[in-house]
Amino acid sequence: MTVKIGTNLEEISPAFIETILPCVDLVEVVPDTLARKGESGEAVIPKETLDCLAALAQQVTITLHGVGLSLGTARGWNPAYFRLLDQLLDVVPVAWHSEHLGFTHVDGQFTGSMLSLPRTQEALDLVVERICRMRERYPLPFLLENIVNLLPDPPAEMTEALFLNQITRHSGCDLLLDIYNLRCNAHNQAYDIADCLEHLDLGRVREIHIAGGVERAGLMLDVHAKRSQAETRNLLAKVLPRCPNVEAVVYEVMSQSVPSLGYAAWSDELSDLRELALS
Amino acid sequence: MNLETYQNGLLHLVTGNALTIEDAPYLQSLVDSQRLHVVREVICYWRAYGLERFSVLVAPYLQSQGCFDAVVQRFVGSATFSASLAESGKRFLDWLATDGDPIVESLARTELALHRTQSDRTAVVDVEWPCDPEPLLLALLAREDLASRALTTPQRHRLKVSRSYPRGYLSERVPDPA
Repeated sequence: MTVKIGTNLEEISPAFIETILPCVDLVEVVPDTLARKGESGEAVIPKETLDCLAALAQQVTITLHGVGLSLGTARGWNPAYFRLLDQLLDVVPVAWHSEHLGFTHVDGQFTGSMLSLPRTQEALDLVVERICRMRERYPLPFLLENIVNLLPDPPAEMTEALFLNQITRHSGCDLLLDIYNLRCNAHNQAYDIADCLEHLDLGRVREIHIAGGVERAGLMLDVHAKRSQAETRNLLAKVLPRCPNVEAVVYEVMSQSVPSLGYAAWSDELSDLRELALS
Repeated sequence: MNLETYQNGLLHLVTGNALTIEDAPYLQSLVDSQRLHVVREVICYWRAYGLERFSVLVAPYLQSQGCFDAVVQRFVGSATFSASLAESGKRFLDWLATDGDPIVESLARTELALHRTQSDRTAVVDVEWPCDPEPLLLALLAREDLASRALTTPQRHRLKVSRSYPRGYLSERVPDPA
């Protein structure tokens, strides 16, 4: 299978359409960042954005990548995210959708950042049950992404590989393996990437993320501001052949960083990824 | 420590609140740690990013004054924050509308008025200004560098914000009280 090369879309701009779109086979839409406040006060995707995405879908594969579902919140996830999904899936053909293995809300209060779950049976049961419900509601593939944890790991009952394997096995979802996040955790937590990959069911990886971030106080942050580092691309080159069912490699960059990164560097990154995926 | 206890404790910590003595040892171990400090910095960074995207007038003005990040930090510490950019942005402008700095207050009210006239075609909102807003608004909308320019000579003005004006607003000088 030929691996698609893609990038994320946080804001639709003429420069994106002209410069980046020709470099990709897949565009990963972030519903949360495209939402605006509707007349009733709820977050909605504007009609012109939906029309634009429907037109984009004629040229490239579209996937959705959420940040606001708060899949792992003990006392209920964020229902507002489902309204955005409903809107998008009504008009845009979507190959699959994905979310992060973490939480952003507690009792309706926004934490301000994606926080990680303890790898316990209680968290596992909760996530599996939520994914099963979501897969019933939306009959398209759902992928779960491994996240960066800046804080020390809370007491755990299983390794990350086992935790992810159990989730995919019991919920039927696939994995979005973020290579950059693996590197962040290895750097920040003395986490053993090779051991994780050795035990992770790589047959469940349908998509891979790659990015370049920044460091703060000696910690690698999940802030997608730069081109990927050589170490990240080297890791991708090693992982890719071990993932027989991977369909896409997606380079993530946040819209705020585009002015400093530049569209030329963005498209160069995508060209390099294509070359790497073909090699 | 069950999942709910863990999540409530983390929320307390990342939003800068204190724990109680009964909280789990794991949560206690995070208090005053450098890693928690970095998480808080990242949270502040994302919030500043969102507010910068939402606010097309006040954010660039505060940036030109070199105080945007400090103002965002004060705002974040003042109330709970919504994940909705529109909601947070509106709260930010409401908060700045009583900031104490006359230019910032007028600018925030102007931006709120522009939002209102976007959603309500018939709305007309008057905003009082301590100076002529025109040069400042034009410079902000053109993303010109404000730092080296004197744009705010004291002179009372009233800005009428309405969709019925070609540019969305009309500025008129208000006579000084006799």
